Amino acid sequence: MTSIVRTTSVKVQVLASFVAVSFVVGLIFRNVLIFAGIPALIYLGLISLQSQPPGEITISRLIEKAQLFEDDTSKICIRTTNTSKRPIALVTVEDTVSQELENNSPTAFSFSLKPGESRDNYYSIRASTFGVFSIGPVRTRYEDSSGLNIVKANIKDYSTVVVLPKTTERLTHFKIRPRKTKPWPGEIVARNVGLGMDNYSIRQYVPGDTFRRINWRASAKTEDNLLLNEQTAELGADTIIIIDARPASNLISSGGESLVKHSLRAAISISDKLLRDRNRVGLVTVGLDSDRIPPGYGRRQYNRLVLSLIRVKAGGVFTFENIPSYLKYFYPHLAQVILISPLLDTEAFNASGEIARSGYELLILSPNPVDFSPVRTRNRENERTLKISRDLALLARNTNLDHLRRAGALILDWRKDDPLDFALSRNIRAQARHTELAMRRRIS
Amino acid sequence: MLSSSLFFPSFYWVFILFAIIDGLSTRYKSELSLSLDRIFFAFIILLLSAESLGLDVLLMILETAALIALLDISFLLRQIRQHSQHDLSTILSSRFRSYLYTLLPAALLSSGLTYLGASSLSFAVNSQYAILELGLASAAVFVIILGVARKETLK
Repeated sequence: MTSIVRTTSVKVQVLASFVAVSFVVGLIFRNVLIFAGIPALIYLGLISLQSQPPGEITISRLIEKAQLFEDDTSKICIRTTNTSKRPIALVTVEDTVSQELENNSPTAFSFSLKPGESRDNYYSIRASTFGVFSIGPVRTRYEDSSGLNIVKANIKDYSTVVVLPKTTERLTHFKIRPRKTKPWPGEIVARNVGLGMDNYSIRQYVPGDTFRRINWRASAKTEDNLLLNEQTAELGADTIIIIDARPASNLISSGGESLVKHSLRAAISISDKLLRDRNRVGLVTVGLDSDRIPPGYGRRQYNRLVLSLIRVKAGGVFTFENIPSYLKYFYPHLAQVILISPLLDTEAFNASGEIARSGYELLILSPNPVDFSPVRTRNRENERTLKISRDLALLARNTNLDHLRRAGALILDWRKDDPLDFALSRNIRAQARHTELAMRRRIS
Repeated sequence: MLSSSLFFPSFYWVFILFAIIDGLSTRYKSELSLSLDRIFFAFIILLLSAESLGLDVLLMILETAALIALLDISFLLRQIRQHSQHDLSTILSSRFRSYLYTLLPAALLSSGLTYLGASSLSFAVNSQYAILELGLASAAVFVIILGVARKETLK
């Protein structure tokens, strides 16, 4: 779709005003200025009679790489063709590029075109952040040789550039330990017998069992019984990652880092690890263009998740309130829910508490919002006030997190400078403590 | 702009003012104020040359034509300068070529007509009818151009 506006140059109005003003001023001062308007008037008449509207042009865009990684560059070619039989004296073509795709070279070009001639103009873009970006529309302006007839066209030709995160942190220490598992093989040590590495028990050999698992040393101690080693099963599970990208949760630090972007990077790393551990992973995003992807396996699911995650932008009107009921309705047998949220408001706390109370195993990875506070001061007095307010905010947050922990959620307070793998490695220790507490609660 | 003060030394402050406005508009990329500044500068030059230097009609017409060309080229260069340029020489030469059949004939035609009008009608027309004479001349020029251009288009 193209919107075309044919106009006349401002030059006409300027010259006409000049003719009128010089005539009037010449009359007032009674001097030769009265004649100054005559050549301007004749010039106007001649160009309006002789100039012809410029011909037609077509524009197409070619992209070197439509999918690139952060900090990569890609070349873009704008091909302009003069489809008419008249030359075009001046063509100006300008492409619209979003701010996230920093362009190292100018995106606007001025040139002339002979009849039927095609011209390729190149510029390059550099992806400063991940996401899905649109390039376009192309604004063009072309005019005849006298510059009187101008055609302005807005060519609505859009191209999509997908920018993937450069390196997602490879997690090595992160493991989930849900109670509910699924029957397919995975990395979660289940509480039943099956194929795995850890010993579970020893039982009597029954015909049909493999000889390789016979515990010869234990069998030697019995009279005529063969004993067999049994291992704990290592199974997979169904998991869902929930991303909080509401406007309230999008804090931008003084260094310009976005909390939502931080959360998205973490979600990509976690989904990579969970899928590599042969779990099924689904996704729920709460933000602008909210998306819901049911759990699935493998690299294809990973690509689907990444494409959905990089589209997430902070904003939208979706709330957290309906997430617990959504999970209950669609995924009643989920093994693990991973919520990535700074837990800034009561809505997030209530929803998290309800998910935990509904019987789901909830792991909350909470980027610490105090680290993303944009407030900075140089005044010593204000600095002291700021420190106190930060300490108070952290205290209030810790209290709220303790409330959630009591509801049964496993919470990891993720400080901005901590690597994700380090933060999640604490998950193993926290998990052990969490299970122990749950056991104690059950006994009492 | 500043060199214009050599011709009109008593009005040097006007040109300094124009130069300052020009500089500030360029610095803050204000296209409108830059255009207005240059148009007013051209008009003031014409006004002063008519008043102070006492130029005759022919010189005034030629000066007007030259100023129109200068302003037009300066606007064109400013428009192109904002973008990555190719074929600058082609663009400029096509604009100069367009002057050959627009601005140049306009200057020649108006000078010729004014000269003819001044010599042949000087005995017949009183100075009080000078405005009427000018109006009639302008209308006649338009009619001639219209006729010539129509014929050209029909061909």
